[in-house]
Amino acid sequence: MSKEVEEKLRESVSEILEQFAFMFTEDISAEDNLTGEILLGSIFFTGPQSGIIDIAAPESLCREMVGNTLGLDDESCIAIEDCENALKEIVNMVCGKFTEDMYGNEKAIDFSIPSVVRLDSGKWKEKVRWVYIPMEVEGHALCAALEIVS
Amino acid sequence: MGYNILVVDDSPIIRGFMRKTLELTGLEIETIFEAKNGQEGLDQLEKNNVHIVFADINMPVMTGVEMVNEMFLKSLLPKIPVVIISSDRSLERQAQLKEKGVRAYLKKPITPENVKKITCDLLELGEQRKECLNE
Repeated sequence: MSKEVEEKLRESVSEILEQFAFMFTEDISAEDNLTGEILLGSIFFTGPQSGIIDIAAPESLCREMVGNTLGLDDESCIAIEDCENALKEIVNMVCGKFTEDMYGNEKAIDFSIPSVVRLDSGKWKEKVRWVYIPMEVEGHALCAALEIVS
Repeated sequence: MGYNILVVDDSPIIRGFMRKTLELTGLEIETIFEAKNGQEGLDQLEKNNVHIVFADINMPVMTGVEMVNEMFLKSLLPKIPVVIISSDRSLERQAQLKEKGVRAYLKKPITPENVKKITCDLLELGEQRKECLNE
């Protein structure tokens, strides 16, 4: 998988988090540092190529994303469903940005309905993807991943 | 005169984000109605005087496209502009939607600037539009 593809995914995640959740990302050279239970958002896309994009993040980061997006000072009132919905929207927007950067915007690309599951970070690390991009988002770990299937 | 705006999206996060974004535009807004699918959107249009609709495409029960089709059959589209907000950025999809009567298309994530410009373009005419954009 080329560095160019990795960079496009990285930029897509950074841009969407900045524009939607007003949060800034930092690249980290270390391996994915997710620990404990995480939320995993996934979406399939079908176009000139088909693939899957994952975004794995701790609930604490998703909670902060919801708070920032909706302008809430008190994050304790944010339900887990809101965290899951926010991650679904983010993975959806990242997919839109990434596929536009990869394939242009002439032809329509079909997206699946994004899904979110809770799993242990150990299980996440067992998944096989072509590209893993660990990032730090204002003190929280996050990992974006991509696999092109055809 | 304040505008009544309808936001149709199955995601409560997006509806909340749209509400916050609309409030940041500085436009004179009377009421923001919300619906979580196309059918609820049509129900809101029947009950309320709505000036502009912002709608997602993929929703359960009734999609944004199906809602636009129903609005066409009810002759609502000439009076109530529909703006689709979507993560899908393809020109092909935008062209398909405009053929069905959608007036404009905004890519997610939206910004107050984009929303304000689209709303002014679709609702304000002549000198009023210039004032709207200069605020």
